[in-house]
Amino acid sequence: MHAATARTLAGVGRSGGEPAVSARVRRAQAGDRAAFRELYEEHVGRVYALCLRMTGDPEEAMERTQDAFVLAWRKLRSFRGDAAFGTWLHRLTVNVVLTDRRSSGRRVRRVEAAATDAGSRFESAPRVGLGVDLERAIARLPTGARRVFVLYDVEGYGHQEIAEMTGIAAGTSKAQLHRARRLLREALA
Amino acid sequence: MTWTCEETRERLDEWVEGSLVDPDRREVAAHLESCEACRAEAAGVGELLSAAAALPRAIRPPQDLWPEIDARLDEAADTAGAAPVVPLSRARRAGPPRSASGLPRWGLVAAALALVLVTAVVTALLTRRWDQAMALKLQRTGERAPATAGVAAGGVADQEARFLAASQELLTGLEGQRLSPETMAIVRRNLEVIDAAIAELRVALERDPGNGELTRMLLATYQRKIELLEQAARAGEEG
Repeated sequence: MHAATARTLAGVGRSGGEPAVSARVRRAQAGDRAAFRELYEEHVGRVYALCLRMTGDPEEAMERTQDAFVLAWRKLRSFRGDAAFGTWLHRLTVNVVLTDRRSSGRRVRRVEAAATDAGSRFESAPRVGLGVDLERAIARLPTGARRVFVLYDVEGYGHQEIAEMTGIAAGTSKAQLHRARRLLREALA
Repeated sequence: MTWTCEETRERLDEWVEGSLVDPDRREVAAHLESCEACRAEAAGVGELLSAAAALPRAIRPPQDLWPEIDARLDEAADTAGAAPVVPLSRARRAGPPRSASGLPRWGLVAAALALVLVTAVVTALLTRRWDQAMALKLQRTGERAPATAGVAAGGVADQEARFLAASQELLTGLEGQRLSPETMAIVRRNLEVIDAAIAELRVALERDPGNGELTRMLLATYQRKIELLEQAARAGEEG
């Protein structure tokens, strides 16, 4: 298990130590929109960060974030607590980004805007300058390499999971990760 | 024979991650001991992974996305159900041309559509749990609960009062039923749509009290509300 995997399990998978199906999730499942808004407030930062890094485009990331929460509301009744809500939502968000046709077809990316947008929120992160540069470099990666890098090195998914989610072979995921790391190191050199 | 730089660098990712196993791990370690360039390469990979792990997990979007999400939740619920419910508030936001009564014409159309769809949705959901014979009997006989039997008589205000009393009685009874939370949520959402239609029609009637069409629509809307509550009550009894 690499560092990011451990971070994911400690964070997304066990968000705040909440039970698998919290009372708030149960209220939202029963149609309580106020409860669902509370879930939105708690998770929107994680969802948007994932969308931003996977798309490299702030506007597209906002669209996919909205899509993810709307889909979550629609599918909420199917959530049975096998994983924590945050983990379920995270996986659902990945699928939203990966299955969006506009995302795969879009080639004009507002990379600088993405980096500025993300960079302005790094005040609390260590090594601020490297973080901003890394965000900008991630946004400039080719789509396939960027997605695998974000899912593996940032979000902590394994190659097999990435293969299942994206429809590529695990070996292709490894190759894309190797390529992404090489391109990032060149960009940051 | 130890590995070359090219062979080593192909496996550096795994070596830095700690996922490389023997004998390849030993080969990479042996090469790194003697190759400063590859050690620097490995350090670079390690630094990149550390930086990736240090990225903030959450980034707030530049604007609040909730209003747009909130507006789309009705549609989301619709696609999970059988047919769409048209929220009247949305029809009014669109800024369509207004009728003589002061209401958007499309709002009234939406109100009528909503009522038809509400009935269709709720019927589809609730009748799943009904005994088939009961449903057929209701369709054949047009059976009505006693609370609605006398609604047709009297003036509009009087009829409104009867409808309100009947709906309140049914609503109170519904609280004690065994409906699932999901079904109750659907019933509540559809009641909200019907109540919004009632409110809109009442405003229209205040502006145009002699409008017979508006009066008929208002009373029909009340009737739909009663029917919805009756169906929900029956489903609770059956469930």
